Amino acid sequence: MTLENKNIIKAIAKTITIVSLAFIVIVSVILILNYIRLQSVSPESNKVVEHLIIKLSENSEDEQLKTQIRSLDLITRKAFFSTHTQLKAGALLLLSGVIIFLLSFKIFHSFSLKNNDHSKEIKTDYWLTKSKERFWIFFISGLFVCSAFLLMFLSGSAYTDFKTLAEISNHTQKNQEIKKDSSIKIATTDTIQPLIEDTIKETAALPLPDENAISSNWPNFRGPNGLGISYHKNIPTDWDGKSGKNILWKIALPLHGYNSPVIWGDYLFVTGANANKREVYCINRHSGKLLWAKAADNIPGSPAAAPKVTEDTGLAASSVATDGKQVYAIFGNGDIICFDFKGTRIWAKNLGVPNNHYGHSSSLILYSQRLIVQYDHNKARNIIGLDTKDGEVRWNTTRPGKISWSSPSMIKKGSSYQVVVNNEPFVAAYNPENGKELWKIECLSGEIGPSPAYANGIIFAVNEYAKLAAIQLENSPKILWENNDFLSEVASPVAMGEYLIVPTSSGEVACYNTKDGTIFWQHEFDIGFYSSPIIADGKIYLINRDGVMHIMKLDKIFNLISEPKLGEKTDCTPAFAKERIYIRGQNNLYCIK
Amino acid sequence: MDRRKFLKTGFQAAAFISIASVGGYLAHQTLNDELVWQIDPYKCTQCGRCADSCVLSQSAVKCVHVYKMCGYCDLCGGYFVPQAKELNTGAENQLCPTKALKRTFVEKPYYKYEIDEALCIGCAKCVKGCEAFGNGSLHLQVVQSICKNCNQCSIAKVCPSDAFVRVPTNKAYLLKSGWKG
Amino acid sequence: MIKAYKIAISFLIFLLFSALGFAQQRFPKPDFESGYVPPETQVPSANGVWMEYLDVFIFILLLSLFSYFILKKRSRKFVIWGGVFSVVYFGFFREGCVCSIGAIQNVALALYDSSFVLPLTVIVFFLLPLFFTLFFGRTFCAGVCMFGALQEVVIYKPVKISSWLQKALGAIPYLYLTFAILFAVTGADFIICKYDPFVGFFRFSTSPGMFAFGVGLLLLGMFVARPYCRFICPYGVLLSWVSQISVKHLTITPTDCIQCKLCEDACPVDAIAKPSENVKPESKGTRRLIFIFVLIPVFMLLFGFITSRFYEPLSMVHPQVRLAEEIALEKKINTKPASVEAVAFNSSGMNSAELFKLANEIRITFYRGSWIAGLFLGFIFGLALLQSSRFKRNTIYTPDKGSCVGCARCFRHCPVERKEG
Repeated sequence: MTLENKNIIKAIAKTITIVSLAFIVIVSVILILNYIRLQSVSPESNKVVEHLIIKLSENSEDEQLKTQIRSLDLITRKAFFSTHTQLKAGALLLLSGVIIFLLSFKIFHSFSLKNNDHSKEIKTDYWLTKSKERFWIFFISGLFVCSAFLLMFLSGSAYTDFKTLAEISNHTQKNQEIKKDSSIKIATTDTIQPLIEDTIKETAALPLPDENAISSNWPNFRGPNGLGISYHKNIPTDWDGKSGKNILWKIALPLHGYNSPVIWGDYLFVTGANANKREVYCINRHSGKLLWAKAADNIPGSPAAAPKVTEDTGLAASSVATDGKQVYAIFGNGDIICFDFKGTRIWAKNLGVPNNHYGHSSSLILYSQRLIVQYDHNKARNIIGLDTKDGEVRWNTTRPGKISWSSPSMIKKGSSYQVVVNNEPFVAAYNPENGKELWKIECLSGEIGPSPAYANGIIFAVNEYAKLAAIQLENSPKILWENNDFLSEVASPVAMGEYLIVPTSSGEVACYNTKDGTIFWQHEFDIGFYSSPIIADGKIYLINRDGVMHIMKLDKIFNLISEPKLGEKTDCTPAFAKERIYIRGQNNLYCIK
Repeated sequence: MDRRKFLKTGFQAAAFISIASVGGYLAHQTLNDELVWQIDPYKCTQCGRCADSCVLSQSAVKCVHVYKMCGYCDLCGGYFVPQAKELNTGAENQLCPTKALKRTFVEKPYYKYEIDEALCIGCAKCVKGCEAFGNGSLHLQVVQSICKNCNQCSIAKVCPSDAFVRVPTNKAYLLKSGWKG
Repeated sequence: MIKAYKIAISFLIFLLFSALGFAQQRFPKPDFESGYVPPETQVPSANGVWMEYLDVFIFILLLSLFSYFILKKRSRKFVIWGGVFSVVYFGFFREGCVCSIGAIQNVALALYDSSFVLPLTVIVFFLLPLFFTLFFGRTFCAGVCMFGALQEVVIYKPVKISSWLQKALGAIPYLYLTFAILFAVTGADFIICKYDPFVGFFRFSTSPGMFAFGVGLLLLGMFVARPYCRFICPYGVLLSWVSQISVKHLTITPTDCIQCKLCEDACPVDAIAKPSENVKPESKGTRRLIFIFVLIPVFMLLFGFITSRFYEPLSMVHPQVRLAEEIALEKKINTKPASVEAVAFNSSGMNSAELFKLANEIRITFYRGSWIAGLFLGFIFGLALLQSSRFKRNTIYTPDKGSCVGCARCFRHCPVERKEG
């Protein structure tokens, strides 16, 4: 290769190098600008278009606005996708530019390479270098160690002690042990101290519920202790919703709900909900005046969108519970809220959105200062004891078996109470003080709707396509008898003395002998029952889905007393007070005298 | 010198044995198939992170449609915004930010919904709508022809519900095949 | 008769309900009258296993070729073009995953947690370079590794870095390796993959920060040869250990060294050891060696103690622990969940006690892990001190087997080579 040739190649290489370098710079600048632009054009959140759509919702007929939205949206999308394509193309261009630059530069460089000059030799002392190395190793690690120590002293422990927290969150079984050993040896931080104090305080036995107050009111779903029995006399037997005969008052409720009315003193409580709103209503039960309607909103943890539920469950299927001072309500999205009787919010929280394919429907019940929530998910079945005072979880027991839609009942054995819950495959009882499981019996199957009934030491559990089981409540409960002639699906059975009433969804009613399961009588009505029967004043009150109340004598033979009509469909269970019945229809609430 | 050589051979043998034994141990629990990332549609909460957490500027996660499960509704919860005034293809009525969902008439009263994969950015808005109001036939999947199969999927790292799982290549998709069990 | 009819109806209702229970099917399957048949869902398939086997095959082939061409053929040209091929194939074509460097984490996790299965490719990519290095030195680094190859081609005018700075920066790979394994084993994160500077180039898509890091490394790499390999790469740590005892290794000169000093400045990564003929062992050298040797356990305990003090902040890298902290804070001050994770957790129905228990277990693993990491770092610190106090007798110019990456630049500087060539 001649020198001239060499020089030509070198010149060409130099030019290509410079040109490609300029090219790289230009493409990089364009790419960076493009990238910045891409950050601002996201079709996912286009503020202008969103604003216009909100404007459109006020005036949905504005054609000009629609055209504007559509063209703006198109421009944004075009910009988004073309910027992406440009970025990709730009990157490819840049890459090829870099390759050309590298190649030409190498060629150019190889021509200008001079031989290395080794004449000047740098004298290095072997051991001096080594000792320098040692110094730097020490210096760097020393820096590391010192800054680590400094950090250690400067930063306090801002981290949660999960071990203690896990124990406390799960202290269901531990209450007793903590009580025994009050000098708990767990490391505590400020975070946990109050929790521990509460735990210790809480281990003191709760006062027993006021039985008189409970039985003279209707404090929760299916009345006192959730067993479907009213202790009042002179209950009306004749009315007509259409003509207004014996209807004291009738009011329309703002929001729909399948929950049943609950009564304490002069007050009646119901709730209603739709996908956007959840409300609790307090009504003067004598005048029918809506005293207050409070929204359950702004609750920490409450999901933005309501979970999907079936039409026939809704988001307000659970009835409220009251202890005479406060009222507690739970909704299908897991919101649980407490108001006092004046409507002041005491506390509210979200228990986690239930993963429930029909929707949460178990009602609340109270035991002394504990609000007991049967909280069933597809993933976990819990029974939770909340403090009525602040809504804190006092205990939380995960139940074995599958999800259920029934509600817990409170059953008194001796001087203590048990919370009895139905779910596939068990009927199980829990200590309302600490959530400990007392016993369980395997007897049910399927998707369980009916709640337990109880009379004279026998618990009755039933489900459609499963069976009816009578459980003798002893120290170790056992099944007394079983039957599967008449099984209820939604409505709960009710029992008193030797009579057990089981209504079915297809319209049959059977009266069993509680002692042996023989059938005293059976009757077939035309319309099925979702509402649960209530025994009051020696009579059975059972309202069908069309709103016709069948009033029967609680007797060994079938004896229909009357069949007054509400004139409105209903699936709710009526509430009973002295000389009054309160029935929630599909849209209206009736007071019957 | 001999001692040094012996030591060296010893080290070499030790290194060889340890590498080989690690290899043997790993080979014992190896898989004959390669693993790829996929979304379990039943765990997905449609948080929208798939759209912008992928290492690719346009996410490898896209919406797929299981036609077998679709109700072919006129009022499609995955296609229309909840407050849609009219059931037409106007931008103000569509849920999809990139209009990647195509609506075509089949027969009264059924409409077919198809996804234009090139336009889909995996934002899960339609999935959320379909889950909330429909049969849940729309759901997100990692499109394997786009996915770079990163050693650590950057979306999996930020998925709030652990819906990202590694599946063998011969079962690279977790399509909803039927009704939730 | 009525009864039978009712049973039939209720049975139908039951069927409907049980279907609802399982499916939440809101709308039934349409009954098309026009003969329309719902299409099957089309999903583009993955590349399949054969592609992975091809990767393994090419990987083995490249390793063998590199070893052959460097040790036997002494070809610098092959190193360049083989490296370009590796960048094009493993980088731009296969787009970077999985690589040997990242495989450390998978292997560490699989060794710790036997339920984590590894595909064959990961095992091959992790182990084969180690095997080849044990026999031939770090020929993998020369160009089979796409990162090495990428940095090799951008070297312009490498400058010498003083040995103390090299030592100081050389600590980074050890730290990186230690914490990468700690985070991988605890299931917290794969940090090697997360902070990979070059993979974004191969995919034409990266975050601005990582892009700047990658470009910066390449620009720096023009003057400081292979900055990633020398001062970041955690896999290089393992390879350098193995390479130090390699059976064979490249030599600067094909036959005998004539001590012409021409190769002295040839190595861009400062891996040429000079003859030590004029150097006399230091008088207090042996005593210092023994002193350091005895102190190694002390260093280990010190480092272990210090690192273990930081197990709580370290565990915050784990998403589950972060979530648990957030939930605990929410419980404490009773706020609305702020993050998507917390919302998802609340809707999952999982008990917070279970989460706290899990977070606690992870934290315990972190506590133990950070102790072990600290012990290891202390040991490395001691070794580095030993290394800097030891006298290595050396009569000729020879590559330092630990840090030589086999780029083959020094060959053409050797007059013996030139004469023979």
